[in-house]
Amino acid sequence: MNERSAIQRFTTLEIVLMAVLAMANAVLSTFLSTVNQFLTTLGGPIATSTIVGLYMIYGVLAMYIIRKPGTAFITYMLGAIVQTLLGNSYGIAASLVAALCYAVAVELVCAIFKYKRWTMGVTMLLGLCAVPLWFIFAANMFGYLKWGMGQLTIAFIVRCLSGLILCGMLTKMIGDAMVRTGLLRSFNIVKDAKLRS
Amino acid sequence: MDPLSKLIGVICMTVLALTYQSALVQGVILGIVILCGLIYGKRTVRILGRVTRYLLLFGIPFFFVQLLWVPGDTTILQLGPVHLTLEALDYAAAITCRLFTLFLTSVIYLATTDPRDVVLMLTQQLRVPYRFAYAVSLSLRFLPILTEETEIIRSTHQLRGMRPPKGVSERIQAWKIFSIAIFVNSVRRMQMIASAMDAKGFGAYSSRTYMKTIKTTWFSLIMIVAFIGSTFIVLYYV
Repeated sequence: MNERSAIQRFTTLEIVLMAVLAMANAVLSTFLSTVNQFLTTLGGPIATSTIVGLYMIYGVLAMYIIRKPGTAFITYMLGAIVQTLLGNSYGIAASLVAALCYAVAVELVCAIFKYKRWTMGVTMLLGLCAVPLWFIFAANMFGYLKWGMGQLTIAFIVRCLSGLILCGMLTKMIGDAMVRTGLLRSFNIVKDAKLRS
Repeated sequence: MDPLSKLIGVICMTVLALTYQSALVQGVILGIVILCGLIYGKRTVRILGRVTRYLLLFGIPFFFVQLLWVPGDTTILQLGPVHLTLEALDYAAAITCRLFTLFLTSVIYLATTDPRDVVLMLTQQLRVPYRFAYAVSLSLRFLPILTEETEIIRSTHQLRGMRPPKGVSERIQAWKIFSIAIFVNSVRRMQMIASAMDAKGFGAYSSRTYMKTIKTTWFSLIMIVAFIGSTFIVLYYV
């Protein structure tokens, strides 16, 4: 597919939604960085792993609402750039690599389901699959590799659970709650629901 | 210097910071970054001073967590069941310096670059389609708008006699009401902005004109080559 048709796939409203979610994520990340510091002091790397799912939610939510190929990629990249421009504690490289890792995983899983299945199981799978790739990069970047296999495994399991619950499950709940407000009529999430009913 | 050359400089520093695991090398890299910040001018120095407190607040717990968690052989201090090893000390110092480097390079980049220039860099130098580059501006523009709306909603709730919540369940309920109001307002605002953009023909053409253009000058090219060249030299020799 050429570049032009890929861009034209998205309406202005969808692009604005992605921008708003990216902005919301930047605000959330600023708040979470304080929580993260507190958790680091409280329980080290395992405690900080508990909130990982919250960092990934905006891209999965955008995908859940818009349901078009490339949504997660654009939203995560937008989020990384905005987060960088507003300032975050991990730097430009970490933001961009994390966004890229999440985007690749989410797009891949959605492509497997042909952007058609949006059950709780699928959104939880999205949250789960977004974890491992970034964990590998983060382990190199932030020095987790030296912790020892035991701690590394526990941290990975905690992150997976966080991805499942705080990203996957919460995305589905927030998305469905947004549909009930009746304000998302122009998006595929409502169109698909109408088709099903 | 234009945003692209600076971004390449940041990327080169990041590559170097992520390559080495010795405290000495990481310390040198951090020193170079701080020196660059100091050279850049008074504004950057002021910002660096401001972020130092935050950096220490974040860095000190991180350092101690690494020091306690990373295993090692050469014990330098034993406090009951806790062994502090030389290897852990070196690694903790290296990783903490790395985090500082990653953070400070971003801070210097932001302090010396106008966010609007970053958007222009994306479209004019990196050839990112303007519909998406514009979304970055849109996100940045949304932040003060939503902050203002949040304040309006808070005042409205107070005017309607909503008393401050007490206890966990009341707080959750109040937060729920508050976030629904923000969400509804955001979606309405979003629809208005999208309609206005469509009405003005946003995205109708594949290219657009700009008030300001960012040109890749010879100086930028020389700096890009210098950044990449020196990174390769360091990677090869150190």
